[in-house]
Amino acid sequence: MPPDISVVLVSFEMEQALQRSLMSLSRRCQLGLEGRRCEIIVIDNGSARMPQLTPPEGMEFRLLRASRPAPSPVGALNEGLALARAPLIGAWIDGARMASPGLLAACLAAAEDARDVVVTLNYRLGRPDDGVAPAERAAHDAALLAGIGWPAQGYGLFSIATAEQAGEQGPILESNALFLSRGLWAELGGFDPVFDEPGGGAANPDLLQRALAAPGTRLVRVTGEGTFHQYHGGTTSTCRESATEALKTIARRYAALRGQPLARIRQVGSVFASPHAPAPHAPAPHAPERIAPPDLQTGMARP
Amino acid sequence: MTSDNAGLSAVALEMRDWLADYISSVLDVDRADFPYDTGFDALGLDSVEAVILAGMMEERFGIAIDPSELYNHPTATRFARHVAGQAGGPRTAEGAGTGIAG
Repeated sequence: MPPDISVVLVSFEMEQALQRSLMSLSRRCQLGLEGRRCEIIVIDNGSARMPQLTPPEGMEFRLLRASRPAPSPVGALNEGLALARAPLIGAWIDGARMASPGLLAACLAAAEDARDVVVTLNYRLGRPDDGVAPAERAAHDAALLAGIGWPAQGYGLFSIATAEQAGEQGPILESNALFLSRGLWAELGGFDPVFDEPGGGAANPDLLQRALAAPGTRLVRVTGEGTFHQYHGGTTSTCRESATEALKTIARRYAALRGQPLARIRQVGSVFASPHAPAPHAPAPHAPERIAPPDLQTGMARP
Repeated sequence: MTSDNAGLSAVALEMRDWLADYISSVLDVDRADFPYDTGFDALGLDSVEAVILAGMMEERFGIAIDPSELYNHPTATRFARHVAGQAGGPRTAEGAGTGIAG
C-alpha cells in the first residue's frame, strides 16, 4: 500500500540541520497523522560523507545518494520525486528546513483536488539584523531552538523566526514545502534542469510559476504552518551582501531564460488554516523592508 | 499621472521609463497612468522585489545599484534622477546612453 503523502528533501553537507528537519517531520513532532502513512525521502546531492541520520520516527524513510550529484539540486530533487510513491508529494529543495507540527496534516487536508498547488510559507530562524556573524549562526540557531524547548514546543518556532513574506496572505516568491499531486508533478516534468547553477537558481519559484500557469490548477495556501530555515552556509544565506548579489544574478538568469521578470505571486488563492496551529496564531515578524532576500535555492552551495 | 519631465536628464528619463515598464510588469500598476512620484512602498514593491529590480536595472544600464537606494530615493522620478546622476551626472538628450550599456 502506498503512503498517503511523500516528502522529498535534498541535502548537501548539512547533516546537523537535516537531522533537525527530519525530527520535525517525524511522527513524534507531526500532529494529526493518525491512520496516515508518510514517506520521507532524503536524496543527498554529493556530500563528501553520506549524512549519518536517525530516521524520522514513525515514517517510511529512505536515504539515497543522487546518481549524478551536481552543483544544482534540481537533478537530485527530480530523482527523489520520481521515487516518491504517494499521491501527494512535497518537495523540499532545501533539506535544512524544519516543519511546524501540523504541516503534513494540513497539506493532506488542503489538497482536495489533483490540480491543487499547495504552498506553505517560508520562515527563517533568527531575526534580521541580529548581528550574528555567519560563523556563529549555526550555534545561534541551536540556542534559539533550545530556548523554546524544541522539539517539544514545535509551534514555538514562530516565536524565534522571521517570515519571508509580508503576512500569511502576502505575495510569495516560492514555497520551500510545495505539495502537488503525483500527476501534476509528472505533467510539469518536475523542476527544470535548465537551472543548473549552484543552488538551483530560480528553479523553485519557476516550478511554482509553472504549476500555477498549468490549466485548471488552483493555489491553496496553508496558513498557521510553515518551514523554518536553519543556517547551513547555503548559496544565499551566508551574508546579506552575498545574498543580495545572488538574488540579482538569479533574477537576471530567470528573466533571460523565461523572457519575463522573476516576480512574486500576488494571488492569495484559497486559504487553508491549519486546524492544529494554536489560536490565535501569532505570526512571526516579516523581514523589514530593508533588503532581506528570501532563502532562494539555499541548499546546495558548492565550494 | 505622469510627472513633469523638467529637471530630469535624458538618461534619467530613460531610466524612469524603464522603471515604469518594469514595475508595471510585476505589480498591479497601470503603465499608461504610471504614478512616477508615488512611493515604491505604496506601489507594493517589497524588499525582495527591490533586489530583483536592482539586478535587472544593473543589467539594462550597465551600472551597479545598491537596492537599499530604492528606499533613500523612493519614487521612480527620484530614483532615476539619483541613479542617472551616479552614472555620470546630468546628460543632454544627445548624450543619453553614453557610458551606459544598453
